[in-house]
Amino acid sequence: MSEKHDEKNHEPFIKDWTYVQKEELNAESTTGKTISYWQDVRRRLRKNKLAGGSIVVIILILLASTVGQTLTGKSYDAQQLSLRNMPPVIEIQTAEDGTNFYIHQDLKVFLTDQHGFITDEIPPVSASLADKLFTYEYKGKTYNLSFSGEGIKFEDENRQPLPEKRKIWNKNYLLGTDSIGRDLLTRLLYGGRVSLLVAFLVTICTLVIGVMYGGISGYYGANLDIVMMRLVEILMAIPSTIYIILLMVYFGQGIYNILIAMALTSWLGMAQLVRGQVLSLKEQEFILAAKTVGVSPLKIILTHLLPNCIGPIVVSATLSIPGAIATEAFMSFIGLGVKPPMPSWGILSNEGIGAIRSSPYQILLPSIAISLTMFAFNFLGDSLRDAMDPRQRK
Amino acid sequence: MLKYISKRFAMMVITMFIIITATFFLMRAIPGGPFSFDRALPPSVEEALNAKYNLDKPLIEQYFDYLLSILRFDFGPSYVYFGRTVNEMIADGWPDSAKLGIASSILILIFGVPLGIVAALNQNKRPDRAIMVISTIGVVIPSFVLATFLLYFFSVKLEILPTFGVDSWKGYILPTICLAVGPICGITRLSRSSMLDTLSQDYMRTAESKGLSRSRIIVVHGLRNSLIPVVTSLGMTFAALLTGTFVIEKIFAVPGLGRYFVSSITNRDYTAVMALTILSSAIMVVAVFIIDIIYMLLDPRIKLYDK
Repeated sequence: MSEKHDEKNHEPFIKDWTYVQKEELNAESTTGKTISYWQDVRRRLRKNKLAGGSIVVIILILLASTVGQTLTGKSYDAQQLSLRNMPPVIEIQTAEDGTNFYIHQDLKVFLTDQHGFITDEIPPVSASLADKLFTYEYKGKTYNLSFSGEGIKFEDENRQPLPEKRKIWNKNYLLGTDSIGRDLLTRLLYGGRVSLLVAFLVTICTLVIGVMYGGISGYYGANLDIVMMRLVEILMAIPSTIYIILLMVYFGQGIYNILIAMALTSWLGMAQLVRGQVLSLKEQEFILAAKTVGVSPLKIILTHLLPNCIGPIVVSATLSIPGAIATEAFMSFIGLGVKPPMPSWGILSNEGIGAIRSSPYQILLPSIAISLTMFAFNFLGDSLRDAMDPRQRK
Repeated sequence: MLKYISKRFAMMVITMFIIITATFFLMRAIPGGPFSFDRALPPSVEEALNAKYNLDKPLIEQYFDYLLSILRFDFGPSYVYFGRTVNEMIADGWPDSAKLGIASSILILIFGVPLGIVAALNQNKRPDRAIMVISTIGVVIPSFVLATFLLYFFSVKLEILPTFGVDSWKGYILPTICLAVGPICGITRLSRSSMLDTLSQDYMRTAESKGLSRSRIIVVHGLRNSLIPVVTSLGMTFAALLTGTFVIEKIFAVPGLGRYFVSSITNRDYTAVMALTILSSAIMVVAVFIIDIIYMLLDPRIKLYDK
């Protein structure tokens, strides 16, 4: 009907038209919503599953190493020599009368309850090293522990194995104990605190020294730049591990000493990076404008230059954390890091490596902790770099 | 070109001079002399010892003596093992370190660059993904952690390789792998990104449009240009491996330079610490010098940048 009507009159009818809704206003526009650089970085980072996973792992590790140690209720240097080299998983053997025994590989017999909680050690009533046979008495029954070539066997008086064997989690020490009976879980958590603290503080020192040094060198340029950068080049020519070793030999072991030694060696790369960034920025107009209105050089560096090169600095700092963890672990491992009994992951590895055959968990646990932390920080750093790279923008 | 080389050479000498000076004064500044034991020595014995090791002279004189003796490659007597010189002990330890270093360098050469190029040529395909995942893990994991995992599986669980010692050829397998894995993965990643960078260059397209064969483009035009950053990394790695590594030698009880370094630190054998510091830095600095020259031969543009 209306079509006919239109053809006849050639007149537009108001009722055929409607107002455009606000959200439809840009429906045919070819450009999307403009987002700032940092919004884009955040969006890309959020889409990256690896980065998300890394952040979760890092938060868990940080939580565990800050509050974890108070939750275990044990101290990192309390020793219980009778319970040394206890593995995290123990095999308990149950006798017919319901008594639970745990036979330790060092030829010790412990009593446990049915949940795996070690209550007592029982001494042998007679020990014959020639026959490789220990005899025990408990609740009126006799048990034999033989350790001939076929391994350790725990048998009742008729030389028959006990009826029930099962593996159970060590309830006294969830991750076992080390060679002098210290709780490995507490030491691992406290060691994580030490390792991460060193890594973060070294990174902060790297940031402060490197950014200021590079900023000043790049901003003033000319002869000052040449002198400052030659110094960096010479210091960089010395292999950094040797430099740290030398400083540690001079300072002696200790957490503050390793911090200072690492801070003194780690800022060089950051200084070069910041200098390069500042050099490329300082000829731009906004710096000239700031100079013209009389802003002081320090303020120009801090408020105009550095915020504009924050991206590479953040990436470099994130990636320097795993580097610092590895260096600290390495130095502690060769006996030039944190001073025992204070644990760090390197110290724990050092203490565990000797027992790799008899108690492999002592070396595997700190190794896993180090690897996990290094992976998390490295993946986060890589994802940050990808997210901040404008060439990879989609 | 000669000017460039002489300039780099001067730089190298200055660096070495600073390293030697810093090492000397740092070691001398450590509280407690080399002969301060738990039990105090009779003064006459201590004087005799100091005179024997020239420690009674003024510090400056000692310093110049030390500089001169280093020029003659004489690192002096050991403070801990009486009657032995540091030179002898270095000569004892170096062969084992060098054997390990050379073996792992060969592994790095065989696997590092080819894997990177395979990954680059198959970018974002399955081989590339696999190589990248493995090499990321290999780069991140510290060598001593890798060593403990390998030791646990091959020596403790499977019991096919010895836990320590280099008495038979089997003893070299694990330390060589531990030393090589990190650098292989690093070189793989580096040569992949470098190759990708080169592949996107204009001259590669030119070479293709000239009708050159694909293998010729990749080997002659691609490889040569992409190897420049790889050479630096390779050179530094070889230099570092040659002087022994502290942790791997300690874990596997290899009687090499690295373990000697660590033990001389714990024994406070200062002449040995100084000698090994200077030796390893010297090898590093000379390596950088040689790399610079190779760099110049590989990339003629570098000369132009030099004023």
